[in-house]
Amino acid sequence: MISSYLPLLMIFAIGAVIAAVMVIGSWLFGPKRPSPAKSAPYECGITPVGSARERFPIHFYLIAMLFIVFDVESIFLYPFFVIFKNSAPEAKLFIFIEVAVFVGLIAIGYLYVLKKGALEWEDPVVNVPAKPAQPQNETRLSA
Amino acid sequence: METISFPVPEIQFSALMPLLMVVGAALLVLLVELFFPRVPHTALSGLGVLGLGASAYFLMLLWRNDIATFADMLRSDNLSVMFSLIIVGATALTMLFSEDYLQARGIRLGEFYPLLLFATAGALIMVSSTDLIVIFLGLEVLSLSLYVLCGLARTELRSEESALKYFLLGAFASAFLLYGIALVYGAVGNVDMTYIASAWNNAQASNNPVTPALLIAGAALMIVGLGFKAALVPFHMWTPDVYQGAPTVVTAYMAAVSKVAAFAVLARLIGSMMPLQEVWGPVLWWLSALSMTIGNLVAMVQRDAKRMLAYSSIAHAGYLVIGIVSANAAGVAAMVFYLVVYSLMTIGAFGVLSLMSRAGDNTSISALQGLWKRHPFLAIVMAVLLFSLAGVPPTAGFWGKWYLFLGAVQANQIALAVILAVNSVIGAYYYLRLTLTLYADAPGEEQLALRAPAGMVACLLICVVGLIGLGLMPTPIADWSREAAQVMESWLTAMKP
Amino acid sequence: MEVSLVQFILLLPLIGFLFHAFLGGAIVRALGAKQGKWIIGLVASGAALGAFGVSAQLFSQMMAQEESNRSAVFTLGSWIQVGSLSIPFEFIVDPLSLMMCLIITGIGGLIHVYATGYMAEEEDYPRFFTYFNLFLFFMLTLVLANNFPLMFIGWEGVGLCSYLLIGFFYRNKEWKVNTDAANKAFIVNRIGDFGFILAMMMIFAVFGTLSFSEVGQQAATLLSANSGIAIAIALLLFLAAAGKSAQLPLYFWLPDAMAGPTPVSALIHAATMVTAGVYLVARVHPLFEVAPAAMTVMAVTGAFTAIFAATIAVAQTDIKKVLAYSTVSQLGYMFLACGVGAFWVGMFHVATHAFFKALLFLGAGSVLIALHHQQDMRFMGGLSKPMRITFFTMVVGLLAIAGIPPLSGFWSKEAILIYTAASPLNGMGQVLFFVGAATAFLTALYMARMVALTFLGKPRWDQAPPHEDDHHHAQPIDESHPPKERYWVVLGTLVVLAIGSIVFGFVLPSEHAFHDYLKSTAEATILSKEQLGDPDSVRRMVTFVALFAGILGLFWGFAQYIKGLSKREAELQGVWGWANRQWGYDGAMRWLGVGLGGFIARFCYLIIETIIDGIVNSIGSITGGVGAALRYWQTGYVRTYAFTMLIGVAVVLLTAFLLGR
Repeated sequence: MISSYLPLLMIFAIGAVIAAVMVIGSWLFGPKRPSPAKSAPYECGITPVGSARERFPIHFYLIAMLFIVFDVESIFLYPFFVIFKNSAPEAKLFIFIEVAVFVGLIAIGYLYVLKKGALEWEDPVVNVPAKPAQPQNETRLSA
Repeated sequence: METISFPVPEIQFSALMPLLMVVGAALLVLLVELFFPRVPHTALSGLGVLGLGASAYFLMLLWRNDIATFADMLRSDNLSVMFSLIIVGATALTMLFSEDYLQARGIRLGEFYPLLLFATAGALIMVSSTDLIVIFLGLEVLSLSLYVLCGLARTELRSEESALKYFLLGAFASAFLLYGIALVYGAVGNVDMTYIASAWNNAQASNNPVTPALLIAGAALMIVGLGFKAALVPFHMWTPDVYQGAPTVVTAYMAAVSKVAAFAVLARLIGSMMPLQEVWGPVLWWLSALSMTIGNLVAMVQRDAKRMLAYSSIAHAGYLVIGIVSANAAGVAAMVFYLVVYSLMTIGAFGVLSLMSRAGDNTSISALQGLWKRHPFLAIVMAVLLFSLAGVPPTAGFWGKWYLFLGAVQANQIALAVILAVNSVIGAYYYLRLTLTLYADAPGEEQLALRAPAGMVACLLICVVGLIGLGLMPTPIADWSREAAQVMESWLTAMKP
Repeated sequence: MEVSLVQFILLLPLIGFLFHAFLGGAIVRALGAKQGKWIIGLVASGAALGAFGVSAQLFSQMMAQEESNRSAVFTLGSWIQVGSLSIPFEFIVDPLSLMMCLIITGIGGLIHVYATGYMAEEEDYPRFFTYFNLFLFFMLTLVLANNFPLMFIGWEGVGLCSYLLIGFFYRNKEWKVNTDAANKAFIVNRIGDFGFILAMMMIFAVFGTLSFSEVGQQAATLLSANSGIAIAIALLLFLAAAGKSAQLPLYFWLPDAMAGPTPVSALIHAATMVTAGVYLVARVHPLFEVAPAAMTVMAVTGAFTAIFAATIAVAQTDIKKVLAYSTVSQLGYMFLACGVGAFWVGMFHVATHAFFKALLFLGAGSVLIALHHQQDMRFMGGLSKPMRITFFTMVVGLLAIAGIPPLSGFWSKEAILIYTAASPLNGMGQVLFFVGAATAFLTALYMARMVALTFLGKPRWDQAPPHEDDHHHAQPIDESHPPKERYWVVLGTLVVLAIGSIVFGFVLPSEHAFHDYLKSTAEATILSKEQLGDPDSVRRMVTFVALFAGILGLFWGFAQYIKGLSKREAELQGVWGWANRQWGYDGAMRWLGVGLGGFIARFCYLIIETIIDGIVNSIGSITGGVGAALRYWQTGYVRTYAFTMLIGVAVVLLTAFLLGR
């Protein structure tokens, strides 16, 4: 049984070897002539200003997550339609109820999201200043 | 296009009702809180307790009815009913005192109740299935709710930290569990754990008995994943931090329910892997011995009562594994009985601490000094709980340990029984020391007044009366535990090669 | 018969207890002392008499059954179920247990009624009846239990109630006397309980069961006669009985126990609890029959205790102490009867003794009420006029205990002496018979002395030194305010008991009636006729001797003491003082227990403190050190935790693969 996985293992091995050869080869044989312009993050364009690690409003993440939830839900509906259309009539009611329960649950979630204001872009919460940063070491939980 | 034959599964709603009641109550509470934000939270917890009561009612109807429904994905037998009743009861006990605690801590979030009920639903799913995927689903429902609950005190760094730690490590552990399930599926070709034994036996009986490496690895990884939930050494590292940081009601809930669910699955899993005893036997033996010993040793040197109880819960998890290592119906029955007792003890003890942590957010052991003077009722309750945790005779904790001990001796696990006895002594040391602290004189500084709200008093009374009642008359619950464990017995004999 | 009625016998006193414990204080506060006490007294007595009613009902149903059918077991539920050990809540209803029930609830009920009067001026009225009803509950549990552990609950429970009631007056000025007496009773009883527990363990080891009926049936087969284990079990059980029933060497708690209120002395320390030891012996008599050596020990101990306590009683000046030693002495009789194999005769004496001793105690209580709790007989005398009813009832009690026919005491005492005289008992039967006869003489003597000093002769109650008790009576007793009888419940109870003592005697024209009643449960089954002897051969002689001893004692007592005590005796000089101080036994025991025991304890303490504690402490610090070291692993970093888990996974996988072939 294990032997049937051998080709797969070989693909992994060959891939790893090729990648390693290419990286190490270019590092070994390539000429190295650094200059200030080359060492800059970007050779062309504007010089970067400030840190790239900026604080994003949490709404970006929230809305992205909510999108995924409802996105996946809508994807589930495709197989439902296909099966519903082609199934025997006596099964249709059952399938319909099943999906209704599913959609109903998601709808409650949607209601919750809507009512809590998660979809409102102009959320005053965004502008609340962050809590005063506390040094993590002091409050860290440990023995 | 031809019609697709879609098999409509046969559904027996009676087996589903307990779960539906809990989920329904959760959704109802969610909606009520959503549309009527001004509804007092007592009403929300009341609704929740009602739902749990209904669930318990339907569970009792299921007693002595073996039902497998949803294409055998949901099983309701005496074992699952017993575990479910413990879970529902523990949740209700937590609910009783949570409203007041949250209020006092300034955590006014109506989401607490639905989340607690969702977690309970997850635990119920875990205990009433043999299908590994369904179990995983239940575990995730339970875990996700718990991650959020741990971080419920949003303004406190410690709470957030505990939530994040729990989430990261929990995800890590879930991955192991899932990987284990995948490997078992690869080996067995089915996700129902009842097939594992026959697959192993077939492999052994075939002309060329190769080592079913996939099966062994899968079983080991599943033990790891469940060991994390049950807080067994060495998968216990999260426990003290999370237990200490989380709001105390959540800690109480987590310590009781999540452990019950994990042990329920572990018991069934081990039961389904009887022929593989030489694989999991030594593994669990060591997990048990290490958990008992390390849990107790580290608990001894703690200065914070909540942390001490966290380590003690690790030790108790070690005790509980003995019931599984014994690999007989008596052992499983002892485990079930101990889980009942353990839930009462833990919820009661954390309940008392929840009152302490409210008065100045200080759960250090020295803060408990002189509790007798401040609030005699609480001091008496705490003393009973600690006596029971230590396993002192007129309390139920004694019988719990005794049955486990007997089970181990009957299964010829003498060494483990001895380790249990030695650990009971170490445990008694720090439990009794804490008891003494309660009755010692408080240091000169002024003590904050304590107030025990009605819900708390009710919860504590149930715990204490239950523990003493079971201590004096363990037989009814012990009989039920035995009957529940009979399920395993019949299962085991059916599977023996 | 309806065995389930047993529940109600137990339930009624329990309800009474709970009622007083939780509502008693509130009722007194709400309704005021008078009404509140009335209600509490009513509930307490009602519970006791109600239980009597149920017992009587059950009794009549039992008597309607065939002789062989009179024993039944009622199981309430299972209690402890561990391995092969199964201990249910099971109660036995048979002539033996029902007889005890009737005594406990009947005489107990009367004493409850009496106490409503006697304790009427107490502040702690609800507390008293709380303990009193609780005592009834435990005592009934003790006699109805059908296995050792259940009996042990009752056994310990009555011990607890006895302790609580002896120390009842802990608020008095002289509280130390009461609390010391209570502690003494409790501690001395522990020695007996130790025997009970050890016996229980050995019985379980041998029989594999702790049920009375099963142990009784299998005793002859599982234990060979006079084997070491049989003797050990029997002696340990007798040790338990000696503790509870105040026999040598453990009798010395009982006289001190008189510090409790008089109804307590009457109910617990005369009529019921102290007879529990005799009941235990009768209940498990097969265990004794297989160990004749132990029975000899019991008979000799009983006889010796009887005469020993009787001699002490002759020199007492405290009216309650006389009765206390008399109780010890009479209990000695009962063990003598059991020791010669006539277990049912022992129980016979339990029944008659309960009647007349309760009567005597309650009569003494009536005297104490009148004299404002002056207990010293040197300051009594001449009370027969102002206390007419008490006097006459006391005389009935006196005649009963002295063994004057046809009063009840005569029949049971005669039976004991007959069976002792008939018993061969390694040739000691005759000796023990003469000890018993001498005790009978002494009994009549000291009881006559007590009655004479209390009721006859010249009044001396006005010479009493100023006596301070905690009841602040408006008037002292003097010429213008002579002692008088109070409370109709007190007098009523006395009359009922006196009539009972007389009628009981007429109902039993000999021991035969009682024998017929108890022969199915408390007759020797294993011992042979030869070992028991033939009672009819000595009957005539014994009757004559016993009667003569009793009458002689009475006449001597009255003749000697009608004028009061001689100076030498009143001041307890010489032999009187020696006898008064229990021939030095109590002092020796005090030295042994407190002095020598204390020395040993200090010695052990020293050893424990230095050597054992040193070892334990070092183990403790080592484990603590390990714990502290392990704690450093708990860094608080998720990476450490995850890494630990990973190591764990690796180890688990490795273990599984290495050990799983």
